[in-house]
Amino acid sequence: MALNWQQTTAGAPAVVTRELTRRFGRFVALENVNLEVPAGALLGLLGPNGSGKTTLLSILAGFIASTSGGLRLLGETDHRRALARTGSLISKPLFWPHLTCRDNLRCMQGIFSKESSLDSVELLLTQVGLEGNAADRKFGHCSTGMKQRLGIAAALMGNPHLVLLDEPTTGLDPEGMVEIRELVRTLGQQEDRTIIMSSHLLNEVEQTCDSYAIIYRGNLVDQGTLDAPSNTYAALQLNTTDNESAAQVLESLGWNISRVPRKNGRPACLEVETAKGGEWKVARDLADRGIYPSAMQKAKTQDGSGSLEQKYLKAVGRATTSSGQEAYV
Amino acid sequence: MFEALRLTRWEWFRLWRRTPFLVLAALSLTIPVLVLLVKVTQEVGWISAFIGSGFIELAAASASAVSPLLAVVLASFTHAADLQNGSMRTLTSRGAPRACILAAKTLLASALLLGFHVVLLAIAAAISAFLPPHFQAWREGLQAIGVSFLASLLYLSLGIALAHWRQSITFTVGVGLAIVFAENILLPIANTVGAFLEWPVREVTAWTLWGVSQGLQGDSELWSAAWYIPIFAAYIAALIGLSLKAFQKFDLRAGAD
Repeated sequence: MALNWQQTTAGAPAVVTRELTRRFGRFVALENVNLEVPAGALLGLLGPNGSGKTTLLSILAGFIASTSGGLRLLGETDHRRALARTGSLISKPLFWPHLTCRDNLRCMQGIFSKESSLDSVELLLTQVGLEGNAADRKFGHCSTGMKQRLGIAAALMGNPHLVLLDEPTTGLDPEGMVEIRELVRTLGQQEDRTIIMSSHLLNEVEQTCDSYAIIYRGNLVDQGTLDAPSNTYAALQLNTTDNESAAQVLESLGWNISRVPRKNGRPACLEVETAKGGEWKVARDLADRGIYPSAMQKAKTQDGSGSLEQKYLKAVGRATTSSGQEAYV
Repeated sequence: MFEALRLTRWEWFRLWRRTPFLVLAALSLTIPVLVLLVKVTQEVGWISAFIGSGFIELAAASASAVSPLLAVVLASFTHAADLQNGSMRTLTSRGAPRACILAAKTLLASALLLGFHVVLLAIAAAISAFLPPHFQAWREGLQAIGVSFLASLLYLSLGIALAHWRQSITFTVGVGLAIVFAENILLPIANTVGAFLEWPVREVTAWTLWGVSQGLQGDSELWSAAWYIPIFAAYIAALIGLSLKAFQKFDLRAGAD
């Protein structure tokens, strides 16, 4: 396929793929994926196990070739040149088991950057929490978490403009997961750095990333931005001492509400769209007019402006319906 | 070329820290040195009547026996190990040209094979210094050592091709050593039997790696050593070319699953 790349290097998206397809024999791992990631984005690549996330990242990282289609990283038409500015941790960290963590990093630095500075190696080790005795442990004797941290350190080596992380918190303890998410968030805030992080944990992507892409059965089924937490909308179901009056009051105050009829033994209620944490404002507005909620609970929103979980389920549901296959959820 | 040399340095950084490599290096030198020591005992003592060649030639003969095995195992250490363990992904992750990586690994393995021959030559020369000069045939000895080194490059290329074909240490060492043993044991027998029965076995075996090695040493009855030089170069070019093709074409998936 002839590609028509519109963008120049300056201001180009960090990643563009066009009709990217990869087949393993008869199995189609990726099918016509058109992904565009703006420079500076922190994108969460979502999808169930086996959906094609790792295949996509492996193609971007140059480890495997695409069957058809094209890609462009960091505005470069030469993939190899772009990879010089790309750090990656795909599948699992693969280093030399007989070398210590420090020597592994020294070796990689020598290979990648033409100059080996022990200071920057130490800085990286500290950044990922591998300082002290841990740095002198042979990679083959390290725990999964330590290996993962070393993998992240290697991906960050040389201050790359694009970082590809495939499930970076796998194998980490809860404390480590929080640390790594925080590290990824901090890195993502740095100017000119784009991060693509795959995960099958929705909350991880929601907490860490500013945009998302969903891959399902080799297809890119949805892509969008994640709103800042304060603007994230949720639906609130409530019952009051007088639902009809409450509905009129809330409508008059500009709340977006809908009346949910009694169904399957569940009592009728009101559903109010509100920003996260806005439930207390609803309750206060009602109380100011002498109406008191008797029950309040979170509910799924009916449109696409809901949580990432809802977006995910909706996209996957749409994909399975359109392909005529059994619904995933 | 500069890039390949730079990468070679880091190949060495990793290789010399591997215990199996140090064991291999020690073993490779031990066998020829033992052979030389046996000869020394013959020389100074009791059975000097059996001595026909000099130490350098004996060192060359020992080297030519050991170096094909060493070459195959070195190919597995430098190429197959990174391919099988997945660390090749780390090497290529920042866009280093695969041709450069292949060149760096091949350069290191070739340099180590050269080092092996040079060390043996030095040991043989040192022993000779203490013994009567009439046992030395320096020119022939040096030539034999040089040919042994060249022949080892053939087997190194074979090992590299095997490594890139299947990305497996076991396959590289298993098939590589099987070929070395089969060639060194079966082909001489086949040649003898063929000559006796007037079968054209010699014409066929002349094209095997063993046949080319023998030809370079001037042991072939078919062609002179000079004729084997282009054949040798073509074999090296073909095997390394195939390795590069495989390296550039195949996915780096081993170790990642």
